[in-house]
Order: sequence, then C-alpha cells, then structure tokens
Amino acid sequence: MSNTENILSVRNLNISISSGNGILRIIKNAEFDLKIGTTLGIIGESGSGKSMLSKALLRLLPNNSQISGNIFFSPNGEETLDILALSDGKLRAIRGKKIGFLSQEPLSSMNPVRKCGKQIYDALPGFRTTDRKAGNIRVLELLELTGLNDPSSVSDSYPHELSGGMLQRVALAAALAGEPDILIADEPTTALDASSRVGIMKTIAKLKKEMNLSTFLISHDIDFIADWIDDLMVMYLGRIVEFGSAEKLFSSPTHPYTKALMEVSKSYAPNSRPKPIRGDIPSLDNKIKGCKFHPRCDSAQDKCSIEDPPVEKASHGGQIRCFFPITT
Amino acid sequence: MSRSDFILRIKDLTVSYSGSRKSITGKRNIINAVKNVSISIKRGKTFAIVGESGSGKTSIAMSVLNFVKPASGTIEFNGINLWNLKGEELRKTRRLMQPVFQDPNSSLNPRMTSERTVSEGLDLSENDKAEKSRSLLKSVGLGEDFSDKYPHQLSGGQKQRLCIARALAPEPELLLLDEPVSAQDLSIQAHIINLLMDIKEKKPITFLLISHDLKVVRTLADRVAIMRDGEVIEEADSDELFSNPRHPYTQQLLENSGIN
Repeated sequence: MSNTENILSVRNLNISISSGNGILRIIKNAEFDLKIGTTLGIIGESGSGKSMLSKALLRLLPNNSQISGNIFFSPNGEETLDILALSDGKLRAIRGKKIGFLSQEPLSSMNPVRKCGKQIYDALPGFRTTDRKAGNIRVLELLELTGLNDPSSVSDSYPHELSGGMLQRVALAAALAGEPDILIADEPTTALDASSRVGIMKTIAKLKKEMNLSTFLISHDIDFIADWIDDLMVMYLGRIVEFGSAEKLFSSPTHPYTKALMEVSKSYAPNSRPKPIRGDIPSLDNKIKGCKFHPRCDSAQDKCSIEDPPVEKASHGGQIRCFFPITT
Repeated sequence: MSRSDFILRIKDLTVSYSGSRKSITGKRNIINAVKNVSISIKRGKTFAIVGESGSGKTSIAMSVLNFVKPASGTIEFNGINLWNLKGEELRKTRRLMQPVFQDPNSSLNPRMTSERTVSEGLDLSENDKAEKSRSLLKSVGLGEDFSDKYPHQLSGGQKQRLCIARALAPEPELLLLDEPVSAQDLSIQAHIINLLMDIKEKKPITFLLISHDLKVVRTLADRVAIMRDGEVIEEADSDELFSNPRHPYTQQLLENSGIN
C-alpha cells in the first residue's frame, strides 16, 4: 500500500491495557492519515487517549498493553513500512530518527547532569564515532535553527540553567537531530508562557516549509493551535469523534463535542464566568453504553444511549462519529 | 490593631539568589530575581501578577509565604512585617495565607486519603475533623465518595479541587494561587475558575493570583501587575489594563495571547 500523499496512515488501530480491573480499551478503531508536509492537530480533554495514540505511533507503549491494526509509514522516497510489524532493530532506525518526538516537559526528558549540547550530539545519527568536529557544528546549527540567540552558550549549559522556553527549544533541536520526516509533539507548548509558545510554533512552521516536515501536534488548547494546523482530529475517550480540515471544522464544527470544546474557550469574557463542558470526562473503565459522549451532550437523543455511532463521512468531507451531527 | 484596607503590602522587595561562580575561589554571581517591587493588595480583591517564566512572579510568592528570605524590602501582612515574626506568632500568621500550586501531583501526599489531606493541619477532635473535611470537600465539588480516595484515584481536576479544599481548611484570609489552572485542560480550567469565583462569593477572602495566562487573569482579577525581569512595569485595574494597555511589553503580551 503506497500512497505518495500520506506519510503516515493509521488503519483500524486498537489499543488496550490490562490492569488490575481487567482490560481497558484505550483506543478504538482509530483511522486517519497524516499528509506530507502538513500539521495535524489532535485535541481532546485529558484522558481522551491523545498521548497514548502518539506513543503508539512509535511503539512506546507500556508492556501491559496490546496493540493491533496497521500504522503505515512512508518515508520520503522510500517504501512503505508497517511500524507495528517491524523488528525492534528496524524500529530503532526510525524512532528518534525518521520520526522525532517532543514531549510536554522538556526537563524530564533530559539528562540533568549532561550539558545540553552533548545531549543533542548523542541524538545525531552516525556522528558519534566518526567526525566529532562536524557533529559539534551540527549541534550549533540545530540550536540556531530552533531560534536560540546564543547557541554556543546554550550548548554549554546544563538543563537546570535554562528557562522552560529555552529548554523546550533544546528538546526540539534534539528531536530534529535525526532529520525526521515526522515530528510528534505531545503538548509541546503547554508548560510555556505565551511568547515562548509562539516562538516554538513559529519554528515548527518554518521547518514545515523548509524541510517539508509533517507534524502530529497534540494540544488541549484549541484556540492556540488553530493558527498552526492544517487538519484537526478530535478525540474523546479513545475514539476519534471528528476529523477533517481545520479550517472547515473551526468555522462549522459538526460533532457536538468539537463544538463544546470550542465554546469553552469562547466563553472567557471579562466580568463573566467561563462555561465548562457539563460534567467531567469519565474514567476509561466507565460503563457508558452507546455513544460515550451522550451523558454530556446537548443534542443527545434516545438512540445515543443504546448504539455506538459508527465512523461516517461528514458533511465537511472528513469523518465523524455521531448520529445527530450539527448542521448549519 | 486596626485592619487596614490592604491585606498585603510589599515595599521595595528585592529577592536574590546566588548563581554559579567562575572558579572555585571566585565570588558567586548574585542574580536579582525581584528588583524593588512594591505592591499593595486590597482586602477581598483578586490581585494578579502576570509575567513570563523567569520574570520573578513566583519569587514574590515564595517571599510572601516565608520560604525565601528577601534581600531587602518589607512584606506586611495585616500591617505586621512578616520577616520580623518568629515562632508561634509566625505560625499563626502563616496559617492565614495558604498556597495552591500549579501541579497537584507534586503537592499531594500519595499515601493520604482526601479526608486526611484536608484535615491534617486542623486542630480538632477526630470526629470534628471528619465532619469539617467532608464539608470542605463538598464545598469544592467533591462529594461523600471522595473522602476515602487516594490521589492516584482522582483525575487532574479533582486533585486540584482537593488542593483548594486543603488550602481553605485553616480558614485563610489570603489564598496564594500560583498558576492554579495551567496544568489542566480547558474544560477543567473553566470548572476550577468557576469554583474560585464561588469561593470568593461566599467568603471575604483575598486572592493573589500568579499566572501567565491572560485569559484566566482577565476573568478573575480586579487588579493586575505585569512583571518583566524582576520589575513591575505596569500596574492597573484589570478592566483598564486589558482595554488600554500602556506599556509596549503589555501590548505585546496581549497580542501573543490572542486577547484584544
């Protein structure tokens, strides 16, 4: 199955975790494509499975999890691979190299007793045993690429000496060290303040343009990522409830959950109360029948509590899981 | 002592940390995290300190909470200089200001039930403790079934509610909220903000809010101070600041966070 347009195609992906209370289904029937050179935004409340999905793409799930389905990865100009079928050795050539990973907390993903430059150096493919000088130059290039003003002093600093925004740029430089085709960014800006956030996103946008980088961008701040993404995927309790072009989804969301998420951030106004989505997100071991969102949904009808809505083609051309989508 | 309009007065506060040194015998660099900051916080209002990471907002909070000794300046709580207090007097005063931090995971004891977490600091009989903690948990939206739960059984939003209940337990006059919602997702943020507004409506309590999220600040704050590099560069009433930002840095902050 080769497709030149999509760098990543996920088909019928299911993930479950066995825990003390039996088996929890974390991701159910996920299907989506990441197009070459685009940014895909994934939103949903905490506990909706966004991070698990992103980890599954690199097979970084904990040992007690079962995963089935296909993750087709078509690196630029090479044959398509199924990540789930690869041997560990072959996967190592992809993990951190063809697919880079940027986590939410830069501090916890770095070694506190090793200088930042060295840590990026470690991530360079092939340099370790060959050309030290060229490697060091490459480290500085990468740091400069991420928008740091003084690459050499940053390279010479320990993680604790840098601010959160600088550290996230260092982590980004390390994620880009292998010249990846895909960058998986799990809430890369959540821990940062407004201007650092914009800085990181500008860097990713620049790389998208210059290196045709495709990005899988997880966030819960729907307002913030709106400016930076091409496609939008909305997740709720392990299901992709809506997927489509970001522009269309933002102007006319059709799934009630997508709309509810968008309204939360719109409800912030001076001298008034923000309106959260009714209730809390249920835990993964919930016993909700039918559509998992129906207890919190404003357009729910009897049918929603009996049957689980299948994935259907949505009016905006993407996909949706809802019996009663919002029509405008 | 008459209770003035201001619950907290910070005068010419400077907080410094010693940094790295060039050689083994060399002098340490002194880093001034807060430089000559003066802020007065009115009783019963919400005062927000806004700034990017590294601007010194948490250092102010740390000095107010008696964790970090200021290099110079005074912090008066109800007219008493906090850093002159000792022993029992200090403990009594400190009870009146309670912090809520950003990350509930690291501020909760994983081996304490909700009930114990809330009642730990209370000087009551076991029965009264149980009753008081149940009513506190209820006031933050955690019902009966939450009393016996441990932190790992709670969601992120529920943990933050628990932290707020614990902070309210000694009946403080000042709640110091250091990025209380920035680790939560949007819907939970809105829940917590609603909760904070409920508390404010029911009790005569003062909030000192520290945040970089201007959306949250605009919703909660009555007065706002903007900090950069350890200095307050603009201070104004919330309405005024958001409708008519004076300092170019404030204008840029507003722009970056998509508020106009």
